Amino acid sequence: MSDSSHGEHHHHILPFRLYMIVGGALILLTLLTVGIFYVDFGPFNIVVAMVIAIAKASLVVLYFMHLRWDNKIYAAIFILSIVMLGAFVALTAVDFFDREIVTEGHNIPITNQADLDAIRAVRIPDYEGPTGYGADGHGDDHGAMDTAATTDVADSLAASDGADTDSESVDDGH
Amino acid sequence: MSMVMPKMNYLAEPKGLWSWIVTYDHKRIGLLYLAAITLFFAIAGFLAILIRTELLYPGQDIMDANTYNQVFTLHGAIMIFLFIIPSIPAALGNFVLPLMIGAKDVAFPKLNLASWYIYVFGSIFAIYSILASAVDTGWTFYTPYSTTTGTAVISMTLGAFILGFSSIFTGINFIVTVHKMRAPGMTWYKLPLMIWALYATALIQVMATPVLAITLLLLVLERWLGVGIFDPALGGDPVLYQHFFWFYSHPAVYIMILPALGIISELIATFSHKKIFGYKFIAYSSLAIAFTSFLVWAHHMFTSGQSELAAMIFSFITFFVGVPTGIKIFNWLLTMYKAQIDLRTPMVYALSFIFLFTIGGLTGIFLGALSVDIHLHDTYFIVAHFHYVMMGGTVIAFLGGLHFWWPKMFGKLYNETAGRIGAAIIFVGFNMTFLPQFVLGSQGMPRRYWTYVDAYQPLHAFSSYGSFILGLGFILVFVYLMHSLIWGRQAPKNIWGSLTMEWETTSPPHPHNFEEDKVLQHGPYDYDKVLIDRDEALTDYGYDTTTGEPGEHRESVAKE
Amino acid sequence: MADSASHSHSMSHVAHHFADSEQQAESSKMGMWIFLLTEVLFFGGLFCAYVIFRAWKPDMFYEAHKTLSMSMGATNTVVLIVSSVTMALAIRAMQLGDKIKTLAYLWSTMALAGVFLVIKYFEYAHKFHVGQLPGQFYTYTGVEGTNPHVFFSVYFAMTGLHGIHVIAGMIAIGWLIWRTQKNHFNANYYTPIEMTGLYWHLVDLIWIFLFPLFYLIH
Repeated sequence: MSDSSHGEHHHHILPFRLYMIVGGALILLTLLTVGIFYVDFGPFNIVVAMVIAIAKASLVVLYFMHLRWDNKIYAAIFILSIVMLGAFVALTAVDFFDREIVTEGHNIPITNQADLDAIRAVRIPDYEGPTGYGADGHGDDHGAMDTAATTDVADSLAASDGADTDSESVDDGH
Repeated sequence: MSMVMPKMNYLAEPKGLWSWIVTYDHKRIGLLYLAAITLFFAIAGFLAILIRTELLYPGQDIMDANTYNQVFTLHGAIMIFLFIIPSIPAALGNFVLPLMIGAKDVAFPKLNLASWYIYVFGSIFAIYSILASAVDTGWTFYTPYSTTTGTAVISMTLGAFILGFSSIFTGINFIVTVHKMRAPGMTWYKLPLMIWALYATALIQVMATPVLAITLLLLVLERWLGVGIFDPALGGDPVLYQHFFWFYSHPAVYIMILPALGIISELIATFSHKKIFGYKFIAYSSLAIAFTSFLVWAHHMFTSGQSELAAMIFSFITFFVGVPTGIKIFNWLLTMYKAQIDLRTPMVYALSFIFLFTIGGLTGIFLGALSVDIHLHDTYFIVAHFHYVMMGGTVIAFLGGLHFWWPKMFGKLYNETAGRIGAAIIFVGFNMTFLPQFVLGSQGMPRRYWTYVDAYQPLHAFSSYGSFILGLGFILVFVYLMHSLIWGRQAPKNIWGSLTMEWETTSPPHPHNFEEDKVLQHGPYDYDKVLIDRDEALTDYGYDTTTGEPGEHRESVAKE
Repeated sequence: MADSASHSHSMSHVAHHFADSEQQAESSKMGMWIFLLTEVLFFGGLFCAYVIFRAWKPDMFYEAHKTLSMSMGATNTVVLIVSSVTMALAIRAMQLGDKIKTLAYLWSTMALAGVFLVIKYFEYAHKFHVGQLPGQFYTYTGVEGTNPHVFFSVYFAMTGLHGIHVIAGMIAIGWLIWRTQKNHFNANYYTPIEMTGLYWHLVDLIWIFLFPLFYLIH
């Protein structure tokens, strides 16, 4: 009734057992990820958690979503989505993890306007412009070249900082 | 043989207004889009005229500064979201894609109709926000201004959010159609380059637009709930918004240009009557542009305060994005080399494109250089650059494609002389408007400014007068095209002597595209193998369209 | 083209622009996978925001996450996994032409999705009660660290968006139940069930990542 050769849709029926095994494996891996949470791997904690999550995801994708037996094009589409997402996160992260300036001064819990002003005061500590971001001039020492290049950046930073104080209500959503 | 409209054509069958409202026919859906984008182009174009009028002299001429902010925001947002993103793919692409691959329709005709209605729905949101209290943030909706301004940001961004789905569904439809619905014998390397271009565009549409969707949602949440993701006072970062926004918006500009590049490939090959040079290079360059376009977005953010390392990386990669485009241009030039050029209206547009887009593309490379962009960012240089690529590029190519496929779509011929005059007026008006803006920008004139110092006035005035001429050019084009619908002569099957499959059916086509199931007979550019008696296209109807009267017949010769 | 009775019966579901049901089924599948690609990138934006904010303030994230209930999160993870099993079994049942079992599995999937939402409701209700709300509505004071509302903003954005997708999935499954009841499907044609299954598995996939990222922070 199923497979016929004249353009009929090819039906691949998996044994019932397979769904039980994969489902069971997924539940076991869930228990594992909870259990292993109590073991401290230091900086690798997140890696361990993600490895287990990826293992679970692979089971779902390969078996429940049938990619193990399907035309490779569907797998290619799925992998492509992960790759593009990875590029997005990676390149955005390059910006954020190379910056020093915005992480300075974020130690004050904000509860009122005075705290807000205090944040703004310390946000650019000892900033003089030419030597890059941060009080002790982190990052490469560009020397004289840096002066010209970052002056406009400094100006635009200062300008936008001025603009921030101009917009009156930062916590008013409208 | 008399020239009559084929009785069984998609315009006539099925009959009635309702049949258009619920149509699954990709050709009709294409026309629906065509009508809509023309309307929005006219509205946004009118706003542009208002902008240029205001900028004739410093200070207030016809509107105050706040109104000016709203006018340029709307001009940009309508042009980008309502006109240019859908223009070639949804209006022309919908029409020609199935025809060019010998299919009866796209893979998901109902989804196609849904795309159209989502587009209409999103447009209504956008229009509402214009009437409510027009957004004044610039089309980029940068935080923190967009989260604090009193204008209707939420409805505008929701409108764009909805429009994004229209784009995504069209993209899904086109990708599956190209994979699954090609006529027997039409392998990937026998596809017309327009199809490669539409395919690459569709890839960008599905990969980039969802990120715009989440960006706009986050913006709405920020405004509505004050979640603080983009607000530094609440622990967020406005530059994060820019990363999110440009991750879509940079690939979006390639959504705008890739189909245009596809059209130009078709025009150059057809009107040179020569096999396109470097087919595979052009095909792969479309894919290369699509993928590289995702890696360069922060070149829009060089002055935003992002890290130097990130800026350098993005600047470096940006230079690569120009290479595949350059490859296309060289291949087109080599196609035209020693060819017998047919200089009818579509070819005039194609040649204009090559000139104007080269300027636009090159200035883009200048801007990709980090050190140069620091000075030119947010100046008129940027404005000139993107108008050269978007209007000098996409709009010109769109007009070329429209004039190329017009006889196929409507079965009517427009007046060729009017066509070439229109193209010339647009070319002159466009350059008058935007060439001075490169100078203005490099002299320091900032963009989005309502007024300026007196020193800039002469160039601004010149630019404004150019824009009025440009506007007249568009009006002329509209007039003679509409004229052709009513009084135009009947078009034959293949007025241009082209070898792609859409020319093998009647003008206008049968509702199901072809009367028989198509099988590939020859490649799309086999001008060296297939002898087209160009006069066959003309003799049936007894006239030479280049002069508009019965004239001498010319034989085209097959090359060895 | 040889015609058997079952062939011509199944041909009735093939749309006119397709050559045969194989082309139609493969097109549907490809279309759905591309749609899933768009969903990955849609959620991906939020994952990016998560990565950035967590790397910026790892201590605050750690402190804030302690307010989440790991047992509720783990239970929800198991619930969704089982719902993926029942969804897959629903497809298998229709491959075997068993309408009753198909309905049973579809109903089970829907019920499990409902359980997921109920547990989520309890989680959200508790947070609303103590003031752990996104952005400017945040009033809870028991979390150490600067701007803990950022954690909750990201939490609500991601789990909320996920929850909306669960609801959409339930609506789709409801539609499938209706169509199955009306005998629209058979052993040769069950594509909509398959496609909804793919979507549902993606919803499960996203939660598989959300769980450790929010509930299991060190």
